[in-house]
Amino acid sequence: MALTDHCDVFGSAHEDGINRIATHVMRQRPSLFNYGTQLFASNHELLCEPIHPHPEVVRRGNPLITIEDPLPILGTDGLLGLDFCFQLTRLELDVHPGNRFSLPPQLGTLPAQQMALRTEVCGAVGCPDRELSERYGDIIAAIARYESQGKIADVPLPPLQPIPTKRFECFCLELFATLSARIVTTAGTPTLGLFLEGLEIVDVKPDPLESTMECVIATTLRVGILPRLRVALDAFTFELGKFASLSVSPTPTSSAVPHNPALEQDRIKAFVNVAVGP
Amino acid sequence: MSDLTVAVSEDTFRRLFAQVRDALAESTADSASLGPFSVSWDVGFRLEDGTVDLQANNSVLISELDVVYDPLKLTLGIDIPELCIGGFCILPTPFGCAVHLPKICVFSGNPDISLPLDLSGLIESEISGAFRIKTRYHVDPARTPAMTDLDAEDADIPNTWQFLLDPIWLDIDLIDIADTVGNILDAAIDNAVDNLLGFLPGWARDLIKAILGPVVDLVRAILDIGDDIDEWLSNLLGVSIGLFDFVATAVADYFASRNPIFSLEDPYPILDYDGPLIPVKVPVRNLAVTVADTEMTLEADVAA
Repeated sequence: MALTDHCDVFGSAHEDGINRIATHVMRQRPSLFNYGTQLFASNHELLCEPIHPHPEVVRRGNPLITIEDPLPILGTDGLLGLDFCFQLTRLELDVHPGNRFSLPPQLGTLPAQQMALRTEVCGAVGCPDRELSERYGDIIAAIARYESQGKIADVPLPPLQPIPTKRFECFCLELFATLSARIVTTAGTPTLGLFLEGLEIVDVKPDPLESTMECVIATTLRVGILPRLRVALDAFTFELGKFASLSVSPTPTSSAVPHNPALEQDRIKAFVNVAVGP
Repeated sequence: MSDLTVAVSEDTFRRLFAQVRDALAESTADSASLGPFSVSWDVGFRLEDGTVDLQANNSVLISELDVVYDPLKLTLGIDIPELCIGGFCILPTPFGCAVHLPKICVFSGNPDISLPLDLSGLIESEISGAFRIKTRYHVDPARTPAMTDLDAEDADIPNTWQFLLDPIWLDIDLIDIADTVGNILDAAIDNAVDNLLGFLPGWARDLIKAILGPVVDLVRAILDIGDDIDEWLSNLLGVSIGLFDFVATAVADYFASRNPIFSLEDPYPILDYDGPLIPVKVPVRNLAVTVADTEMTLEADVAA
């Protein structure tokens, strides 16, 4: 049976290839996956997980992490903050049948025509000791006092500063998600979209905290991120020089092509029809 | 099975072939003078007919693709220097000339002699052949061992996977006798019917032409039998038959091996430079094109 028995063009990508591509992206653009304050940018040894960049990243002096402002401490009017780092340390895809990693019991067995995503995120927040915290507390109290007396009303405030610390407590969370891919109509146009089917954060206690975190992440994905990743399918036209133009569109589903795209046999498959025109 | 697979159906290839064939037409018109001689031309070509067929032996067969030379007009001119006699005064008077001898000039035109030759749409060539699509890994000779892949890209000499046409056999009929004779017969019948039977209404003349059309097609088919057998045998044996075609295949092979039809950078960039951030590049391995009866498949692996 030919791959194009029921379409003009067939394309597929095996999960092994997709995962290798993800690894290349993580090694060559580490700053997309590692975030932290200037302290961590200057002291990589403080990160929760070591970064293994591509040699060219180091040779060209590319940053390993994206520098972020410290986490502001409530009540300090943006004067003081805490150093932190956040890392996405693993990204792995498993297309049905699930055979690369086991899903947590809450997600069960990977259903047909779905793929699973396993990620690991690690983070740390600098925790200053009590004595230092209280000294900074004295400073905030003094500022509040001067403000109430109107003595520093017109003085510009300094930028957000982290409270120095050498104590970091790292945590790592494993997050699993199951996803499906479907062609849906968006604003009258067929679009290819990814849809979150399930999400599970492993081993967070108490359970209500875990559920709350999962709800926040799932809602963010369903409402804020995945809808923006939908790809309109009515605009794929390729020019072949001055001789021909190719307009591609997804092959309609039928008994011969029951799923398009199809997530099966460890591969993401797409069936495409091509219209050839002048 | 490989990491990445793309397959294109034979039907898609056929539609694409037909579109490119119909769209490909070139022509040029100009003139030149060499002293008293001049030449002007209006020449062009278009493609007609022909089929493309994916074959089970990993090759692509193009059959009987006609190259029609239309327009094909050539005009030779000769400009002879003008020669005038007479015109002088034969009866002068104190008040001027009373009688002039008539002045006669010859060769006043430019050119004086014109030889037009219009063979538009009459002469055809025919091309048939089979080829494979090969892939080859190319390292630019200018790349030094110390260069990284990114250095090579910055210097515009990245490694590439090249796609090359590998001609197996070619059959080129510079003048396709069958179609050329057929075209001449068609033109002759058109002229004869229009001139000799001009008194008939247009529909009656069209009917006569339509009746005679299959006769011309039969003549074309009979004249083409030898060439059809030649092409069938070439495809069967995988070699060009005849000295000219053998040489043509060798020449095509030579040029095809030096001129890839498509190149793919390796490692392949999937994210471009972003300010100082280097591009993200993915190494591609085991790139291969295979042809089966029903489809052409491109496969590749992503290296670690």
